[in-house]
Amino acid sequence: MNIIEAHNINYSTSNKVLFKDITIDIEKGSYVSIIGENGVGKTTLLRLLSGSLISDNNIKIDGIQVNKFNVDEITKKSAFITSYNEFFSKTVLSEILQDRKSVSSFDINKVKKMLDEFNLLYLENYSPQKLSYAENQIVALIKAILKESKIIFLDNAFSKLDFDKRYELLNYIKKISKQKDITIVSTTNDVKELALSDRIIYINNKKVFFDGNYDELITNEDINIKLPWEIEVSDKLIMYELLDKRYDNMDDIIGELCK
Amino acid sequence: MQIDNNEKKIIGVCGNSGSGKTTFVNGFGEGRKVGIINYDIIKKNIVEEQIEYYVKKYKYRLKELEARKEEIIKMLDIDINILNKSVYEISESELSKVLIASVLLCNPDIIIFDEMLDSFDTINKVKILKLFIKLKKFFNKTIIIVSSNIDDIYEFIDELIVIDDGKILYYGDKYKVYNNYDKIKENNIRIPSIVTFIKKIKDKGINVDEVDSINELIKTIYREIR
Repeated sequence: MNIIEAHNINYSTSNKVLFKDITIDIEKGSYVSIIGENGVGKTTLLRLLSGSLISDNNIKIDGIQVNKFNVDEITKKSAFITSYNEFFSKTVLSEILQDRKSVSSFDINKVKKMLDEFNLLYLENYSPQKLSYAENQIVALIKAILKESKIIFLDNAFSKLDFDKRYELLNYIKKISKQKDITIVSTTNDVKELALSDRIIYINNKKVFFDGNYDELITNEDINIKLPWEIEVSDKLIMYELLDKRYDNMDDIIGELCK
Repeated sequence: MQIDNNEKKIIGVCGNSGSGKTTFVNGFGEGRKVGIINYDIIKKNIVEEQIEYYVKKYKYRLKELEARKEEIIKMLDIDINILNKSVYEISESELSKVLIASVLLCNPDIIIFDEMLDSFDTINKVKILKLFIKLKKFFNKTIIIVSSNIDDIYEFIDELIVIDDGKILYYGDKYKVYNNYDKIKENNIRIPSIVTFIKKIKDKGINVDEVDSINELIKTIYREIR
């Protein structure tokens, strides 16, 4: 079942045509990454797909056609996380529970448990305006999960996290997405995130230039993206006839070289 | 710590989040000699006003202000159509370039680029890093790059500062810093893939050179194995 159906999308800003006749359907529970060079409109596309940017395009989210009269209804179903999220509540705890009509002690315990999972329990009474970038991004994620979002949109969302922490977090998101059937749509500049995605959409020259999985992406010679370090080294060693195929693990490469 | 500023160089700063990188950067303070580039320096709503903010704040009397501004905008490849837009409606990568411009216009001796690389795609990341090399070589700047992804910057830096637990663990020539490989690994601080690779292949008895780029690495392996 498709949770997002965006058909024949056209979009221009005041001085630039961004998309020409793009069609993207996104299956419920899948993890989709959108990539492309700076300036191709990744963020704009994500905002269109999330319903937070209204246009006269034909976009359906969870079966409902997006228009300016149902923005609230549509955006309630999802969460949109960026590299810096604006918070307005007094404490982190109240920020995370902001969308609730009533808050029970059960809800509060859930928040505390989750903050604790990320070793951030000490933040509960902090002012959410004073968080570091990394904390800001994790709090936004906790808020998105606890609000039971059907779709989580990630706009270069965890760029301020340490390398290893970022993959820990992305792996966690992937796990949660599969467990709870949450759809993830992410824009990223990071090739390592792509290995976690079920599907990758590459935007180039106003169109969907590539739409496929990770293995198809890294073997596609028409796409100019930076490959993971081990793959790049493999490819060069193959060129020098020092290796016979690609390996995605450093120890395997060294093992082959030392044979 | 003292940075010898007579010899211009590019210095990388790495360490885990919470290790004290932000405190380290703030320790330099804002001023005429040092320009810090991060999201905290967004002071104006309109792009062009942001670019001119610091040069006006410090009352620089630049006769050629307009010409310099134009030159910097060109050098950074900033789209002139965004100059009258809000800094909140342009993309993250454009915003990063605008912030670089607002600091470059003041012509500081030391430029600190604080965790901004990840707003760029791979191609533009390399463009920005090459721009830093140009600023070092031709404009005599010292550049400090704070990044959580050491793989991105290793090839482009001369020296490295490793921060852990609020202290400077190591500072020096990038190759020499990784003489302390085991200690850095023990502290769970990320090590460049190429450094790990070279260490592992040397442990297997293949004597490759210490290099910082994949191309150089392949050449030295080729020489050793063939």
